[in-house]
Amino acid sequence: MASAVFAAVIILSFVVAFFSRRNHGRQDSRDFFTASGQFGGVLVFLLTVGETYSIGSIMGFPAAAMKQGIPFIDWFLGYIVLAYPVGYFLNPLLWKAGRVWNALTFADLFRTYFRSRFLEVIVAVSAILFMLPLGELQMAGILTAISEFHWPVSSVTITAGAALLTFSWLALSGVRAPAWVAAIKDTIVIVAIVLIAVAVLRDSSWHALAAASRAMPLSTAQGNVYAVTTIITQALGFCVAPQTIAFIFTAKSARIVRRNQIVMPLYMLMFPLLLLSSLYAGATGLPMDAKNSVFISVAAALLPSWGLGLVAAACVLSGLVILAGICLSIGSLVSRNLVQGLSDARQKDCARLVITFCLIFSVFAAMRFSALMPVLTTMFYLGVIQLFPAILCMVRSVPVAAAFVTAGFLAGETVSLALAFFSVPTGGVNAGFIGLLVNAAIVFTGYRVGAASAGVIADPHLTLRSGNKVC
Amino acid sequence: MTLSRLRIIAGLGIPFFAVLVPMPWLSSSALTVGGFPVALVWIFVCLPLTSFCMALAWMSEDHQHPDED
Repeated sequence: MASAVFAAVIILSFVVAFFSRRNHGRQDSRDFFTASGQFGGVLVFLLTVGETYSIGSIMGFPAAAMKQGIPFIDWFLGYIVLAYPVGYFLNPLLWKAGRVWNALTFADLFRTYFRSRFLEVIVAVSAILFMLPLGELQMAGILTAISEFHWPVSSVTITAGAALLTFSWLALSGVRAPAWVAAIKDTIVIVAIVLIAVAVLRDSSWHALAAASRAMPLSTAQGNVYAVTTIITQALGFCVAPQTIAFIFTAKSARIVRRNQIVMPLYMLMFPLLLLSSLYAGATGLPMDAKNSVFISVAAALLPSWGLGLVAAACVLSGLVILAGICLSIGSLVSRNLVQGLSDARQKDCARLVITFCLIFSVFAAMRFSALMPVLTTMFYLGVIQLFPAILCMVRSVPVAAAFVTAGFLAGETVSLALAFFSVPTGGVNAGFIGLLVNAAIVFTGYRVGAASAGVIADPHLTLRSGNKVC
Repeated sequence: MTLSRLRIIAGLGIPFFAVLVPMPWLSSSALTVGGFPVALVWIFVCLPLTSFCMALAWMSEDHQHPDED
């Protein structure tokens, strides 16, 4: 029964992806990458909020909460919830910049504003390198979720099937497919979390769950420094992640983008229910098959067979939707920013080819480098946050020369990665935060010395300050 | 104080203050509310509080921007 429910959901996702191309059979690259900026509030919301309930959140949050306790819960929920107010002010400006400068990727913004091919290439290459491990992470989560079925198939077959499904979605209708599939995914995720929460509350006493929560590790002084600096770093980084910016460009208006941000923290109210599965596992000493399988193991212990199928499908769809977004984002960066001068049709072909390579890499990496990838994944925010000072300069029309922005970006990346890779003691301060300070100091110096005028657009009609004319 | 500055305080300042300032004290504290650690309860309270703060900013000014349509 579990397998039948799982298969039905996966088939449904394909059907939805197929119908998402209705009236958009002949897509140009703008429609393929950003749905021609035609999405209304609900689809933009589902796309941009998707990472809140990624497979990493659904499976990783209960497992890490159980193991690491209060410090983990604080920084994990803290950075996501604070990313929304940052996005409330920043995302509408990014949307306007995208419209004014005709951008489909974040690197298009860099090219137009700073007029530096070198800067465009290094930010695009960095973003691709930081996003690739995230794809593998989704595959690893999918393998863990499907392993509960104990099917007699190899890991390669499962990941290859997941890659094929993701490719078919994107090939059918570009970004429209993951947006529509996200609607199914989020519905099923919410149903799955509520089902497990109800089952936990029926099977366990409130006192036992409260006792399990009190048994969680508390934070230390150094842990607090880490939590606060990590929350700031990741809350800012969340808003400038390449795939998030691409999703913002799908919106019809800046008003939609801003209004959506208000609702997003309420969407996080599933996390207390998700935490119940960790508390239940802690209270009952539930045996686990794998380190990230708390959520699935609790589902297997408490839900009927069809419920387990639904939970596994929710986890797998969560992984696939994020994987699709990452692949699409990498495809657009390569076809528009690394390879230059492609015609509209060739951009789409090039993106499809790149998406294929990304998916093959994800399958290969899930088989070969599964131990290394979580380390690389933690690097994602260390690297992505270094885009923040430059993006702030763009959306606030701060005149800083490309040379200073490039130097700041490279210095920030180098400092944060060196501190993290060589485990340099920082007193608990997040390495990305230190890199960000170095980066911001260099960009600020560029602003102060007034060396900007040579490389920055000075057209007042391109100013993006809120309330000013934008075109 | 301008309305624009007020909306930044409401929409950005209060959520950051609410999450970050009490965190070092709460997450090291053995205090409980209803049997649960106070740090857990507070971070969950911050979720609707953040939405409320952004709604305040929206109502104060942001829904009036003509260039956002």
